[in-house]
Amino acid sequence: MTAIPSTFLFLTALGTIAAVVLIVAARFLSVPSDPKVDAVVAALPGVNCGACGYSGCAAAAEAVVKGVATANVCLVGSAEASSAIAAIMGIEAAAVKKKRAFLQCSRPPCEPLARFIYEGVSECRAAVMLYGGPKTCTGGCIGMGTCLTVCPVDAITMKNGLPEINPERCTGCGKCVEICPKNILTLIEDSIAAVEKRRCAEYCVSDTLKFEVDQEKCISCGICFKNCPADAIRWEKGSAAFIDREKCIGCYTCMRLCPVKVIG
Amino acid sequence: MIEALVVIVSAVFVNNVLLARYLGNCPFCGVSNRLSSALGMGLAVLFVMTIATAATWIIHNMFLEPLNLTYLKTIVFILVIATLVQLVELFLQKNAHALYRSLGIYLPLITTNCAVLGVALLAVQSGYGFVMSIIYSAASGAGFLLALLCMAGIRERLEFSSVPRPFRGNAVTLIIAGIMALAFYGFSGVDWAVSTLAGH
Repeated sequence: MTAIPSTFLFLTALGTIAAVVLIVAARFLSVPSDPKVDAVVAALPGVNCGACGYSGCAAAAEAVVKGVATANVCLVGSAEASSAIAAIMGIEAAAVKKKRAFLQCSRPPCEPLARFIYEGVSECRAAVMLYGGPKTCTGGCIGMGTCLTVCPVDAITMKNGLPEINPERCTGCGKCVEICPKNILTLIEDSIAAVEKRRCAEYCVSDTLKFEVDQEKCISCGICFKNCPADAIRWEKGSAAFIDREKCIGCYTCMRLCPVKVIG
Repeated sequence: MIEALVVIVSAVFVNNVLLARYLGNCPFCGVSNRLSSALGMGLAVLFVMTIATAATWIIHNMFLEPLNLTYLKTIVFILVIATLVQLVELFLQKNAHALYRSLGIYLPLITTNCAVLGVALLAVQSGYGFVMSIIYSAASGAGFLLALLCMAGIRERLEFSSVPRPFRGNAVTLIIAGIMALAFYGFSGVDWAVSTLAGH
């Protein structure tokens, strides 16, 4: 027997045996899957985002069929998806309340407001480890865009140093909410009107600090006036300085420089 | 006994399948970003590598050698390993559902993994007996698991460091792999030392 036919025969035989073994195995070892699960999986978006709390669309579908989860398990899917699932399960669909991410901070974290110069990794989670971040408002957005990097649908863009969430693209998966070290992103129901009013418009520090000069103790040195980056301080030689709250940006510069510490 | 120890030390550290032989780079870069998935993948490779080498050793020594068809071993091994992995997947799904859940998603990924094929071929080439082949392949799988877990640990910390833009992703992973391979180069000669010490 020459080499070529024996090679051919051997490989054909091996291939056939392998095929037969797999066919037999598929028949005897097959696990009957619930056709309902497959149907529910087909109705789900299939992006496996995990927003529902299950490890993927298949796991969510299993939970729905078992009766653990309701037909509106999917936060991302449209109302049609939940009604389709409800039809498969033969139950009434409760309306899905679609949610989207919302930034509660409205303050642009521009550089003059920094308490210190941060030169570390451009990553909010790392920046927060140093005294709660470099910005004067320790409750506000740091603006390094960590939320942007985790968004699976590219719904977040940076605009004027603040993340802007595109409500059209946002699926409400909550990944940015989870990662934000400042906890200033929340999920809100899409239907809420006038959400802009929910933003924190005031500088958070002004709740505790008044940025007022103690008129009696001021020695009228003028250091605050000369160094104020926002020209918010009125001062004349011989009289106490006065901070214009309209112009004040809350940068702490005057408080830090005041030799007699009378600004509070 | 000593021979087995030498084979194990050699396969895990000195001739590590990922870092010295440089086989199986796909999972090394692909599933090394989380420790949990690296552990699942590593265990799946360890498992498949062992049973695949056992099966290919039998095929090689029972069929290919007597029939003078050893030049076919690459293609035959691919066929056998692919069939075996499919079979094991079906078996696990039916009879060990918990194991299927933890390893299941990784099994189809390593059906034709070159680390699995490479270890099966190397075991046959080295002329090991059946038991020694199984020891060798399991140790290689353990070496794979070790290297993959090290890489995953490094990459989880890497997330917090500022990597220059052109190096992000696979580029820095490959550089880390190279540095890890250099570190593992320090093990060279340990297997020889073990066998020499045992001899005296």
